[in-house]
Amino acid sequence: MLKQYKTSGNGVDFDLIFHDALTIINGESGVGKTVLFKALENDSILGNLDAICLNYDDITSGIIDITLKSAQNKIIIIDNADIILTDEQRFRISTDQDNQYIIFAHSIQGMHPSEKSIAELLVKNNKGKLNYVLL
Amino acid sequence: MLEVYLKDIKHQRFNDVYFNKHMTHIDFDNDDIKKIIQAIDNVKYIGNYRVLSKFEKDTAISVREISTGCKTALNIASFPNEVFSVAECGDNALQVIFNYKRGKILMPMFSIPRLFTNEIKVFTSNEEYIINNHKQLEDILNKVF
Repeated sequence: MLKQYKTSGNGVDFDLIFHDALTIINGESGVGKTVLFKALENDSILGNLDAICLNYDDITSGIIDITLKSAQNKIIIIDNADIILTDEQRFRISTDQDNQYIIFAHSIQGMHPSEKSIAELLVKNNKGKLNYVLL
Repeated sequence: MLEVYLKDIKHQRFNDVYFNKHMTHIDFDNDDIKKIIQAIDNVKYIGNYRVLSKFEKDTAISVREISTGCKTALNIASFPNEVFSVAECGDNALQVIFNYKRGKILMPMFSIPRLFTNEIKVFTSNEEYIINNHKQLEDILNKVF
């Protein structure tokens, strides 16, 4: 499991800690959630991070469902989760023992997160980190 | 009056895509629009569909780079006859939206803006309410969710 990761994008340096195989990242609008997602996605494309990154661009291709049904031992990062995940997909994520999920969402409905899963993204002085509000 | 739908209704779900497609129809030179961008994303609109980045000093970026919550708020303000989902809005964006005097939103989740004083109309599956504070909204949401 990925427990710590550092990345940067658009002038922000992120130092991320993960406590659980499921991390749901929320936060105020404009704090930089999509900046972080794009930084992780770019790292994935460049080969620095072995992860599958999904967002609303992937809806029409069907790749979201295929990934959730077939991925094994992967890190799956999902942006726009509030609008792209179905109830069935949320359930699948909540019961998946094989993969690690990093999900950007305001709603935790259907995913049954633990207290180690819910994190708020905070960015101050261009430094971003995850604040686990229930820990 | 802002209309809040808690029941399923035809609506725009993909606010990013809708914004990017229709942004040339948004009046970015309007002071209220500029205030929304400043209030939610804390960035300044500088003209020509550009804002000043809050992360990179003296750098102008496309208005397409503002947050989804901010785009949602601008969609609601600029296209008041469409219903927009606020599922992707943070509390700060919801706070701004709930002080609108017009617009239509679908609220698919339990979230209560801290402070609003305008009258808003709330539609559930079988009732309509006119309310003007968060406590009344909380009571309705408790029944629905």
